Amino acid sequence: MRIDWWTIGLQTINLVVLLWLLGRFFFRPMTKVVAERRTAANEMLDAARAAQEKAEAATKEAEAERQRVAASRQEALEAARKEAEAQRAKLIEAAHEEARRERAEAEAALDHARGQAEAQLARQANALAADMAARLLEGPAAKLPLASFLPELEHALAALPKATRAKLATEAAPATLVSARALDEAEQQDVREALGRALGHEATLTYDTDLTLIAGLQLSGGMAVLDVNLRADLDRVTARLDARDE
Amino acid sequence: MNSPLVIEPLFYVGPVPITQPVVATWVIMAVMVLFSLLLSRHLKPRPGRTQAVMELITGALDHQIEEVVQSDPAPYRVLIGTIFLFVLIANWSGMLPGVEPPTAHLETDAALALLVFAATLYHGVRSNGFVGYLKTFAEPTWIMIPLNLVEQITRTFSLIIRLFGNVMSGVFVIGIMLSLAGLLVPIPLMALDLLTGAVQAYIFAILGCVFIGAAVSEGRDAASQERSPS
Repeated sequence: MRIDWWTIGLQTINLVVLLWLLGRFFFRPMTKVVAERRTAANEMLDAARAAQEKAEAATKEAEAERQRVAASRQEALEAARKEAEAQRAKLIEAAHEEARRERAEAEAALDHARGQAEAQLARQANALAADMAARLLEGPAAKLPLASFLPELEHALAALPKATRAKLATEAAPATLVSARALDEAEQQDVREALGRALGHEATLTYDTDLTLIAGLQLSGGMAVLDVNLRADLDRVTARLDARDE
Repeated sequence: MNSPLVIEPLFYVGPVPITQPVVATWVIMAVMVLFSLLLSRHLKPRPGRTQAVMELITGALDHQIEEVVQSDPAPYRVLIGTIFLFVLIANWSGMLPGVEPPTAHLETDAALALLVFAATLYHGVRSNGFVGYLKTFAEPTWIMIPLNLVEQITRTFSLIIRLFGNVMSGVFVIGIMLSLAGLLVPIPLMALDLLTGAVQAYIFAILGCVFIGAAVSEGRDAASQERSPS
């Protein structure tokens, strides 16, 4: 056996050199790249965590925004609903008001029509009553003496203006005396005398008959017409009743 | 076949004889350094297949060193890593025709063990101080000083002999089989030699690591034991 010390020495130097070379060109770059990758991975993880936190914050923000939008939408809907309800209530109130007004108008028209109908009915009733009274009075009134109407006729003539009286029943313009029945001579004389007293001059008359007067006289001449008969009384009564029922 | 214990110089550089293991070591060094240069130039944050394998190896080495030394693997990474890779490649270089592994010669193994021995001293002194490291030889009692001193020598020799014996025997067995049985018969033995080579590289590196770790931690343990009674 022989130990080659030169070889031991050379191999030792070789290994030391190899140690240095591998340390410089293999282990150091490998360690460096692994460390760099670890750093990069940590940075990426940090960045990812930051991005995740950012995304979560953005998600929360979006959720809050969504809730705000939903709340404002709800508020808008509520406001629109209230507005619509107010509008609806207003429309309903207007419709009610319109209905009330139309109803009042209809009631007023109805009342007016009813009043008119009642007035018409009253007038018809008054006319009927006058007609009945006239028929009832036809018999008894025929028996009334002419003299009972003369004072009233005189009184009516006295109420006329003097100028009118002077022009009434003159010879130039004779007046017409209408009676319910034909007057006999004596009665005509009584009438002329009574008129002569009332007019202040002799009366010139023409005579006529009209059954519708029932009883009494009607003197007409010039512009004046004097009614002293039951027909005129009945007409006045009927007119007063009609005026009361209007 | 020549005796494994005798190596003949291939040529001389002045008075220095250059033997086959030295030349083989130079070739292996050249290959390793070229490979390292190529790899380091193409290192990327997103590793390729080769880079991933190399990162896996360095990561596993770091993990092993950390488990043994129980501290940061950085100060021991280059030494243990280089020893492991060199021994592995040197052992496997015997598979190439005409190449005899440098580790099949006692001188290369002695140089490797010498490195481990020097590193043990260096890290022991660095961690504990010169006096502190010397004190570790008197653990647990001063009577143990001769035994501890002898242990330093014998375990270094055991490193040398273990690696030399395993690799040399493998080379010899394959050589004998080749001379006896022709072409295909040695193949299973060569496969076995691959396994043996890897296991021996691992054992050498780990034992070196254990020796360094012991030198570092013995001082630490002794210091803590001295502190605890006070």
